[in-house]
Amino acid sequence: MKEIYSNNEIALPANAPTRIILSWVPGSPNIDVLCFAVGAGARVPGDEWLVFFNQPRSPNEAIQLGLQGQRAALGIQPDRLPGSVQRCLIMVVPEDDRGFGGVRDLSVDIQPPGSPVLRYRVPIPSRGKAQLVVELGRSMRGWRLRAMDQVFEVGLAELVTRHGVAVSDSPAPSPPPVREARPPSPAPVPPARNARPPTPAPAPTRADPPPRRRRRRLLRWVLVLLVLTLAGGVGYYLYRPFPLPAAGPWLARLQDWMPDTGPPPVVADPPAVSDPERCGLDAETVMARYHQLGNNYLKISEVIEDGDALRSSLSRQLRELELVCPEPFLAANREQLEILAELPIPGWFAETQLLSLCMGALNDRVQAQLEQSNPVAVTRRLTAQADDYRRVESDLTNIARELAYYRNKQERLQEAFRTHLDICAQFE
Amino acid sequence: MRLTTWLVMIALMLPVVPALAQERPYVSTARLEPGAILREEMGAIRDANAKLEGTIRKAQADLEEVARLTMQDEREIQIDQLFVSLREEIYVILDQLDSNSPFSDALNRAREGTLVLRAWYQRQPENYPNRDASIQQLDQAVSEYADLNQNLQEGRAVAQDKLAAVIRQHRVVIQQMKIDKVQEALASARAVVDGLNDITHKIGDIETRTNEALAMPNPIPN
Repeated sequence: MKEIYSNNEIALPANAPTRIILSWVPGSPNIDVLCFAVGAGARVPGDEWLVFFNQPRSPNEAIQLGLQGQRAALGIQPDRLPGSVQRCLIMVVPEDDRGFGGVRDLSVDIQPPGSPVLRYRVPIPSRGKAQLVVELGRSMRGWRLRAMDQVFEVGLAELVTRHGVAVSDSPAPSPPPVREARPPSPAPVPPARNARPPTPAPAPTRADPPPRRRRRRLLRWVLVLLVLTLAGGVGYYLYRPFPLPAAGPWLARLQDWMPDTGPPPVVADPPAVSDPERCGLDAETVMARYHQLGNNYLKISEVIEDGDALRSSLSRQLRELELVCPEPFLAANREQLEILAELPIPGWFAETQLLSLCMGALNDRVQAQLEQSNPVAVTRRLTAQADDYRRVESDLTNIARELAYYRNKQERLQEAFRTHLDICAQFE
Repeated sequence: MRLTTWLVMIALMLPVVPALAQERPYVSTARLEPGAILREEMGAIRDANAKLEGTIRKAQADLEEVARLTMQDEREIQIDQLFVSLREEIYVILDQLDSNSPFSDALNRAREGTLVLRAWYQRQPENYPNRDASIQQLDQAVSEYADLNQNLQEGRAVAQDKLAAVIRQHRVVIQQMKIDKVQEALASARAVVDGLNDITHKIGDIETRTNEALAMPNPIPN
């Protein structure tokens, strides 16, 4: 069985159900398992899209929940979910008033169809009343599952209303809850809970559009996007006072907008700088190198921010670990150290200094030309050019400040990952 | 909606499209305004500190209660709970003062950004408007951030030291109780609890320094 960790992602086939089994150690307080199938604004499209012990099936049986003792099994078939559902959030809420204080060894076994089982040992938080443990979401490449450890300070009732489920004070007209099917916990009986899971108010079921209408709607959107993209490109080409940048940075930028689904972005090495005190580049080269810098800065930002999120997650896991650190934990720390060591932040920082110098020189040149008497058309063009140079210079200063910070953060992150490994070495 | 309606809408949008497609600065979603983060995180640290102060006061009162208990088991349970709760409070403070905490990140972002701006002004010709005054102001900001960083490191060291003392004395006090040295055990516990005030004082210093740094006239023009 392969282990996965917080923030790990896996692709899921949409046409067969993925089984997700949550289990916890007998003796721990009981845990309520909820699945919110949410759309825009993280709200459910209708009350019937909250699946929990009192409503164990969603419409179309896209999501099904089975409960037995200290186990909860969810079956989710993504292609049965309507377009209004973007994500499925699987949350756990301990029944105990102490929150996660008494919960031990909560693990999630994920069984995508035709693939081996993956085990995610959920880091138990020291605080909070609810935890998001797994998220299934649509992405450009189909459905993906992500192991999560996001903790919420709010209890069940508020969690439910936050996700748009109408809470009714009166009992539901439906048959009594299936809760009796769950045998009592062998643990000492916890005090009565203040917040019982609210009963969703009856809501009209929303019929999904028939497939043919859906296809037509999709085609229409594709067409609209295509026309808009073409029109934008033409408009850009006609109105832009600068030559178009090379296609590379645009593509890279587009990739940066995509959700992070794979390995960290590759940050290129900066161009060699022969004399950092003197700018020997023409305007076109300066602009091309500015775009190259901008794209690599965004990638550096992504690597550092992902590294920080992983550091935070690994630090939390380290507190929960037994005395011996498992190999995947050590490997994740070593891998991050390698990624950070190869990040050429100082080189790109030097590039900002050179380009800033060049941009200053270009600004001075335009300023000198503006001070001569020119026809109005030339003055307008020079003014537009001065505006662009000033904007780029300001952006370069901002990028330089951010890169200086990332250089500093790179060192602090390396120190943190090394500390994790040192702590593990002490317990070997 | 009919296709022709869509096409008319697209045609109407066309004049706007070039403006949308204009060059935009490269802005990472992670780019944050350090002043606001410092202010916000300082608020969180202040809350945790206030909670620690409350816990210290409660612990002092609890120790007086323990002194009046006659059952040894009961005394041990009370002392045990007291030490565990103190430990948890210090963990919260340590997390907030960590070298990778949001507060540290905001402080380092502010400091590094100020250094870059100072270098930019230094590269400008001597007659650049407000060059020297700006450099002087940025120097002052760098010095404030360095002092704050020093305070932060000291606060971390104090909290770490006190955590070690809590863990060490936890064991000592429980053992003393077992051999009926109750008064000595309670005196040791009181000393540990009183010592935690050093953390709250240090955080008070950090707060003062942060407020001074934030009150500076626009150290990082954004």
